Amino acid sequence: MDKTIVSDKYDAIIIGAGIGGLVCGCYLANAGLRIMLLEQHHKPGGYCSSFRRNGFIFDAAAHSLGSFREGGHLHKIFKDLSIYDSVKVKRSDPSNMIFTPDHNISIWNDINKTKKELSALYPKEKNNIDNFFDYILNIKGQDAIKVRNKTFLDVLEMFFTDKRLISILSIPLLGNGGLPASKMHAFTGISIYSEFILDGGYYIDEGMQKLPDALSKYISGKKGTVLLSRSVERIICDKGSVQGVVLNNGDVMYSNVVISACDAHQVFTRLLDGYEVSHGLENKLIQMEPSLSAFILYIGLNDKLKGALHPGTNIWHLPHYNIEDIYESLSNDSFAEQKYFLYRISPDKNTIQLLVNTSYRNADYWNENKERIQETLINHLENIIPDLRNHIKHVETATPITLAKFTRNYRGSAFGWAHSVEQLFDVDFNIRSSIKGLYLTGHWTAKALGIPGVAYVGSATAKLIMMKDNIMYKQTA
Amino acid sequence: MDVEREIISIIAEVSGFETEEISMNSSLEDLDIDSIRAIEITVALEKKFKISIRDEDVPEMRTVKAAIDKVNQLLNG
Ligand SMILES: Cc1cc2nc3c(=O)[nH]c(=O)nc-3n(C[C@H](O)[C@H](O)[C@H](O)COP(=O)(O)OP(=O)(O)OC[C@H]3O[C@@H](n4cnc5c(N)ncnc54)[C@H](O)[C@@H]3O)c2cc1C
Repeated sequence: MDKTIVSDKYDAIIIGAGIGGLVCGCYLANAGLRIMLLEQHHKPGGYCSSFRRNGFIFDAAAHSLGSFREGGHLHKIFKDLSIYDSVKVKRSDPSNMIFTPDHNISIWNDINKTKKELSALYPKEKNNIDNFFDYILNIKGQDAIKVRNKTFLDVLEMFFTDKRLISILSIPLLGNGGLPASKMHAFTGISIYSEFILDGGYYIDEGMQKLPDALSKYISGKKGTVLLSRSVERIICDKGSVQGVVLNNGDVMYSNVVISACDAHQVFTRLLDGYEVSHGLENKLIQMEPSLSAFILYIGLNDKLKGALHPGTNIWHLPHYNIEDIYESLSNDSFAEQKYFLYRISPDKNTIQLLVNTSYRNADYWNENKERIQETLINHLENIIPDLRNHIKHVETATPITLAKFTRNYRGSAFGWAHSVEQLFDVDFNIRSSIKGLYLTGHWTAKALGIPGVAYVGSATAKLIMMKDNIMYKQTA
Repeated sequence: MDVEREIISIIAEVSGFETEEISMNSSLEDLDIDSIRAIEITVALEKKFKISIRDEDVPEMRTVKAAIDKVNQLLNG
């Protein structure tokens, strides 16, 4: 391993090259700061990455983007950083489908078409459907104040009475945030709808890896460095202020600004010396619940599947309308049997990704059960795509252990801290931490999840640091 | 519990300003806090002090002083 110059001092050091850390790094580098971004894996991206196997390209975790409309978070970031040409974004229509026991429901790019079809299925709820979507897309002021301590189920019940429709509209929250509507904060549910569902279905033609690769290149093109295969093992502090970091190879790098763009749990329990972390925060870390992890199936196909398969669309399979039961079962042995899952056939119809959110369990558990779960899930899929097994050329799985290993997210958590009413906006996991010069960004800031969310928080973190240093925030827009 | 110090520290966390930079008379606007982040501060205050601020009082809390007065009123009332 080549030794880095240990006496070097940077304007900012960022831990973790997920989308949160990369976007933050891009904005800081754009303002002329000398930044050092350290990533433990051999490629950037975190949950937004792809891998090659047997001639196939699979997205490892995240596979679709939202908030790309004119003025959307991600759109603005693409524009500010001029990465349109290197990252080709396309959109599938419908973006999402929900297969319920009674109907197949589509979320179209044209919201009026979605409203119309849904109203035809639930005619008594027609006005409520219109009002609900208007509310989601335009909420502000007093309406937002009213639901600041409410769940998304409270929001749904403000509009609807039909229990089945409420369940159907709750499904995207479970898949995009790992919580049922009865536990998810109203704000998170609203942003999942406005950013991922009503403005969702975007994808990157040649795989998600293109995005982190382009962002890394942007940083390296300025006064920034992205070092891969380097993990931060310790954050150095002196009298409550950060001084720098120590890497796995023993190198020491100095800066008065350290940005944790990785799992906050390891930062406070392992990377910081015990005395820097207050007792209150130590207790909080024991109580805080991470979001669920995921079990993922990657399938490579031998020839193009035929039929109306809706490639590119996120398809949610809802076996029955009791979301609470589904949520409970995600943490027990039968999570695969209960037939709740998300699958997406790639736009080129070469691969399928199937995903079920589930809780973290130890390696022995997954070693014993992985194959059974894999076969169960393929059976479910074969009920929807007949003769699937005869088309499978490659299949492999990722368990919560795999996710934890490649990204070091605490308990393989898919979305950072669970966005429950109790946990959203927790002050201990804000962008600015209790330690001087230590900032948090990405999905462990108790306020953002998903790629549009962490991209937004990444830019907000950079803006905050520049504001403090009196550096002009370049508004290219 | 020093209510004033706690509140300023919460506003500092959310706004990114140092506690020394925040005075009683600072308005949330001076601190670059938009309406969504103002709600975030309200939620944080409600959690920290285990109080419940009336919906219609939230928009009134436009300065640091107004927030401190409101919390004190609820704690003592
Ligand atoms: C299976 C799955 C599917 C998903 N699907 C979608 C989707 O389709 N669309 C969507 O918008 N969102 C999706 N999400 C959520 C989304 O991927 C995440 O919320 C988001 O990517 C998190 O970004 P981040 O930068 O905060 O963290 P991460 O992506 O976790 O990045 C953190 C980085 O820090 C590195 N790191 C950790 N510790 C250290 C250390 N000590 N030293 C150096 N580096 C370190 C890690 O290796 C990693 O690269 C999905 C998540 C999962 C798990």
